[in-house]
Amino acid sequence: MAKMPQLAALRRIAQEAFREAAHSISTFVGSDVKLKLISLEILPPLQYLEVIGGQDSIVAAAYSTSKGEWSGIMLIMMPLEYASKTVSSLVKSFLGQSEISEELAVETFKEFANIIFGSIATVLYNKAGIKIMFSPPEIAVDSAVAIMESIAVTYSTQFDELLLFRAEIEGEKIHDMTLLVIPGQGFVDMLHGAEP
Amino acid sequence: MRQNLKLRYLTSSEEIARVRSDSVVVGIGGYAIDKSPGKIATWALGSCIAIILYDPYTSTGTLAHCLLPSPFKGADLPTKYVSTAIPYLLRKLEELQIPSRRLQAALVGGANILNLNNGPNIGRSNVIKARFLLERLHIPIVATDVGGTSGRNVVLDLGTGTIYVWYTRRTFTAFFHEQS
Repeated sequence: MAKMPQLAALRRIAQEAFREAAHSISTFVGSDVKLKLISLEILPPLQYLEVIGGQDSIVAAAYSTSKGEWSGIMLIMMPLEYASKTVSSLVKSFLGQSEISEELAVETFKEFANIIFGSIATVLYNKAGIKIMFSPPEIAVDSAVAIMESIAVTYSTQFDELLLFRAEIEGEKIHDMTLLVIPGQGFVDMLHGAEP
Repeated sequence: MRQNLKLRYLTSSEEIARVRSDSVVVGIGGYAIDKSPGKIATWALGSCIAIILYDPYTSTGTLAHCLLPSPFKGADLPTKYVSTAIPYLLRKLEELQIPSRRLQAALVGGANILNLNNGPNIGRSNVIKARFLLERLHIPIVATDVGGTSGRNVVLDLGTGTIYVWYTRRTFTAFFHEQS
C-alpha cells in the first residue's frame, strides 16, 4: 500500500504530466486546453468497481501497456463527445478534410492518446528517473462502466492496487477524464525518490 | 401459458427506453429474483456475465451479474462469482418451491472489450465456467449471447421469457453521423 510521501509524489507527477499533456494538446488542436487533476484514489481492483457506479456514459478509451523499468497498464477515458470533437479538429488541421472514416478517426485518437502517454512517460523520467516505453495504444469506444469493469476484473487476480486519477479537460466545455494506472510490482516504491 | 426463454435484440432508443422502464436493476456482483409481470435488468456487462435462470411454468426467474469464474480470496457476495452464484441462485429458487429440473438457463456477456493480449480472457473463462456448471446440473442453456468485443445491457421480461439485449459499443463515425 502506498504511503503518504509516495502519494504526494504521485499527485505531483500527475499534475505535471497533465500540464505537459495539455500544452501539447493545445498546440495540436490550435486552441487552449487545460487538464486539471481532481482526485487520486488507490483501491483494490474489485473495491474500485464499487466507486465507479452512477450514470453510465459512452466513452472513448485508449489503453497501453508499458515496458522498461516499470511494467503495467495505463488507460485514459473521456466522453465520446470530447474525443470526437478533438479527432475532428485534428483531422481538419492536419489533413484539411472534414470526411473522416472510422479507421482515420481511430488512428487519430491513438495519436492523441500517445500525446498523453508520452507526457506521462517524460514526466516520470524527469521527476523520478523511471524509464518506460508504452506500446502503441489500443482503442475501445463503449460503455464507461463496461470498460472499467473489464479492466478491473481482468487484473484483479494479479494486482493488489489500481490508481484512479480523475481529471477535468477544459476546452470549450469542461469534460471529465479518467486515467487508470495498474501499477506493476514496486512502482509506487520507485516514486520514493521523486523530485519535489 | 408456458413461455420459454428467448433472446431479442434492440437497436432503437425508443424501444430501449420502453423495455428498460420499471425494471429492477441488478448491480455488479448482485442478483434479483422476481416473477411475472416483473422485469430484471443489468447494465454494462463487459467481461462479466449475466446468468439467468427461469421457470417457464410459474414465470419466475433470477438474474445474477457475475464478475469472475471463482473466488480467489474467499467469496464475499456469493453472486460475484459464477461458481458460487449458480448454487446460491438454485437455493433461492428452491425456497420458492421451484425445483432445478423445471429451470431453463441463459447466458449473456463475457466479452473481451479491451483485447488485452497479455491479460487473461476473463470473459471467456466466465462463459466456460457457467456452461460447465449448468451442464453438470442438467439445466438446459436455451439462449446465449456471449463473447465478442462489445459491452451489453440486458433486461429479462419475466412475463414473456424474453431477454432483451442491446450492445453498447459505438464508433466515432456513428457519433459524427448523429451530430450532423
